[in-house]
Amino acid sequence: MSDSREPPPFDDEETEEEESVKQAEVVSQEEVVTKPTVVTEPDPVPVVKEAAAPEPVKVEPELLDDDDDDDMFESASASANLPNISIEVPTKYTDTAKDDYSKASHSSQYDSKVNDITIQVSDPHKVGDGMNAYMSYRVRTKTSIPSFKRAELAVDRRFSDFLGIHEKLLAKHRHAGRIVPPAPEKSIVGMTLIKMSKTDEEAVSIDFVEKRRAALERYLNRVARHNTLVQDQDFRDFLEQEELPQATNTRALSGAGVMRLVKNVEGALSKITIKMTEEDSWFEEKQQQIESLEQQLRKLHASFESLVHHRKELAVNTALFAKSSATLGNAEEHTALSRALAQLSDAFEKIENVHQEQSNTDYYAVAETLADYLRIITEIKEIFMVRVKSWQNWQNAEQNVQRKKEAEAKMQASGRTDKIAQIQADIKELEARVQTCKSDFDELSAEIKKEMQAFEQDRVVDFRQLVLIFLKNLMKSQEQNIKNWEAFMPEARAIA
Amino acid sequence: MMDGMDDSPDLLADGGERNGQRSVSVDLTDNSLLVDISDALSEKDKVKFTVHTKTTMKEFKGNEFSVVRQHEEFVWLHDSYVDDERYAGLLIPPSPLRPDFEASRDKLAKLSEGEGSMTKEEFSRMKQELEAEYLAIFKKTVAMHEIFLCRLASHPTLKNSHNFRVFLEYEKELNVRGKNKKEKITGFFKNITKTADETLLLSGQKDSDEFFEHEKSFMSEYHIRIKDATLKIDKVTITHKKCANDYSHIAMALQSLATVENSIAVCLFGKSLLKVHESLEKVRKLEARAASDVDLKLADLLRYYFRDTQACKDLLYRRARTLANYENANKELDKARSRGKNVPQAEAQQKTAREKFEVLSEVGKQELTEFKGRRVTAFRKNLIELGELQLKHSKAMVQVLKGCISTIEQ
Repeated sequence: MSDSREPPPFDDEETEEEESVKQAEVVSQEEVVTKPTVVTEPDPVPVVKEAAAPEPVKVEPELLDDDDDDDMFESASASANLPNISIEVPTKYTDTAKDDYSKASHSSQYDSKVNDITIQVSDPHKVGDGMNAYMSYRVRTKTSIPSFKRAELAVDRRFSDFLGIHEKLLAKHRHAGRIVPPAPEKSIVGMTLIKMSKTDEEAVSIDFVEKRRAALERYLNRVARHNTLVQDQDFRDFLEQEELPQATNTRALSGAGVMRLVKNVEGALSKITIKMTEEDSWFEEKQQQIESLEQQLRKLHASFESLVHHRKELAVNTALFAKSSATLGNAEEHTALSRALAQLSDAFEKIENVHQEQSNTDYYAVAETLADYLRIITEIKEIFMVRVKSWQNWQNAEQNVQRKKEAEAKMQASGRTDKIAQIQADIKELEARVQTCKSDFDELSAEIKKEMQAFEQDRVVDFRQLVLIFLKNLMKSQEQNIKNWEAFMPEARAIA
Repeated sequence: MMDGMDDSPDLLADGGERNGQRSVSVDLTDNSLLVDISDALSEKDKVKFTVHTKTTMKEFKGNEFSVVRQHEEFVWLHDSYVDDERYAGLLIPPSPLRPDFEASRDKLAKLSEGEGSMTKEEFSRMKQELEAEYLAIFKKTVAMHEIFLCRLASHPTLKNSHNFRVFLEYEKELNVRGKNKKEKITGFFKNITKTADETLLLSGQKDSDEFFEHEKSFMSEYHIRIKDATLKIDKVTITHKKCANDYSHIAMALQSLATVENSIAVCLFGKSLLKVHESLEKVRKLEARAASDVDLKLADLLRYYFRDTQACKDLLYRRARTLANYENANKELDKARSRGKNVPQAEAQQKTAREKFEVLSEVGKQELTEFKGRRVTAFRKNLIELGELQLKHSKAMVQVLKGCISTIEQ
């Protein structure tokens, strides 16, 4: 069903680390839950029931995964080297705000689409109880792309499935220089909240769930927007197949997790050690641009988060004053003034709602998208590193040829002709290797250029949309304020 | 940027002075004594107010004169009224609050510390903002001191105080010193006994006068609630100002982002961003103004009436005290009569106590009734202005945003 490089589904925890399994479960990593959703409908894909059969096979999934050199970089994928940019939204968003947001996110995602595909993530619901509980989401796809089975698809997916598809996409496309959109981050806090929630409704009402739902939706649409990624078999399977094999190596505490950690360190080290002499000025310039873009986006993101935070605070304070002015109005013995104060309280209550809605839209439609972009930029930097690594391979090959040639020259000088034929064959082989490495590098560079162009176009479209959402939202709030104060004026004038 | 530099302090100036005056309506029909603060000078740790007086009252030496006074002298004047028994039946206008520039001074100090880490533009902008803030507080302080004097000057009885005349006329410093330690401690104990006495008298005392009985319960209730409302609205304006400030951070970040986008130059997106930057700066100014207008029109109004109701409560307490004295004198008289000793003396005492109480009740009643009228008028005026200003700012913001959106959509 999927790529042949994928390891067969198996349970790595119970086989490799029997001791640590219990511990791992206690730590409540969200991926520790291993029971797949069992759907009654018969399915061609074998359903994996982990609890049923602990297989004695000992295979490192990462080793099977990919054995070329890029592995090292691929490893950084699900790692924690991204800054933690998530914030908790403490108050509940109102329904209107939610609508607003989804409208906003839809337009931002779909207006610019090149591929005719829209994906909605909806109906988060809790499956299972206690430590084994997790959230499942409905993933609905509408598309006219012929390679999909039907024009409308709907499947249930859990968070680890998203991480699974992300891992697969990364493994296949990063080393080719494609920008794979980063998947939403894990949140132990959020997951613990869900595991602790008593009922389905309670779980769904947690802000974290909506935050994640929105993030997942943005993620899928971003992948779908990519011309190559949207055609990926695994991605299509993700949207189409009723049942997916359990994603195994996304667990933070699994053997694969530890491997990832080790590789991250290696990756970080090689980043420091490799010194590349850049011959392509385009890349030099791009890299600088990306650096300064990141810097400015970080600033912008921070100011938006601070705005969201302050506006939440403002909403709370406004609500408190609304209450306080209502009680003052009750104490006021002058009838008309008392009425005006009650109206004032009413106006402030409505203003509170305006603030509340505004901060939700600013958060979901603006701050979160900016956060996504920051993560994409981190991914872009990874891809630049992939290129550096590829360049190094090429250089190493060149050096090998050089060394062999020197050895050949020495041999000829010393008249030892017996091994010359062998060495010449080696040189030929190595030279062929140089050619492959060089063409790999050139292909990679060309692909990255193409990707960057797409990225820049998408970014401008997205940012323009983002700015418009922010401004329109701001304007809407002020229009509502006008209504609020207009309703207040007659009562103020009626004081006599 | 440029228009911000010259118009914002102006507007603040306008708002500060006029609005402060409006939050309490002072009856100016009597023109025999007019007082205003013509100038104020902020020195290191004190503010010097130039108090300017125009009068037709014969008690004064001239018709027009100016003196320089400091905050402490205002407080002294206030206390001299409170301590004077002749004014026990009157509402003494609350003394102006101490000028508080600490916060913005601290910020200024911090700003100069962080000068190195900021871009030149950021620095000058922040500095400008702080200066505007400082100016606003300054104007507000001046306005508060002026209101205090105006209320005294327009009151038919209070304006005749000797101390007030000295305050207005005497050219040198009044040499009032701050309270020393001993006085502070006695003041503290006096306050405790007063509070205990007050609760006892205001809640426990039986009062045959319905008007005062009602006023007592109303004032204590109202005072608590208006205090709460003042605290709450202050929090609202503080957070509102923070939000407005965030706009300017966003605007700045957009500006730098525009520079980056221009260097990438995929299309003219950088230009759009600059437009957003400009509009957002305007919105920030309007939002900040909306916040400070809530501060001036609503928070200051509530604050003033919080303090004024305290003055009302003090008046009610003083009356309750004289009532208690009068009742005691009655008891003494009864005792004297039953014993047949010192009757005329007790009678005289009872008579003065009764007279004192009756005069105080009568004057107090009038004062409290006037207070009610004044309160309603002030609330009406400020609430209308509040609504109008909020409408004005919101409309202006919508205008700015509309323009910006249509530019980007093109």
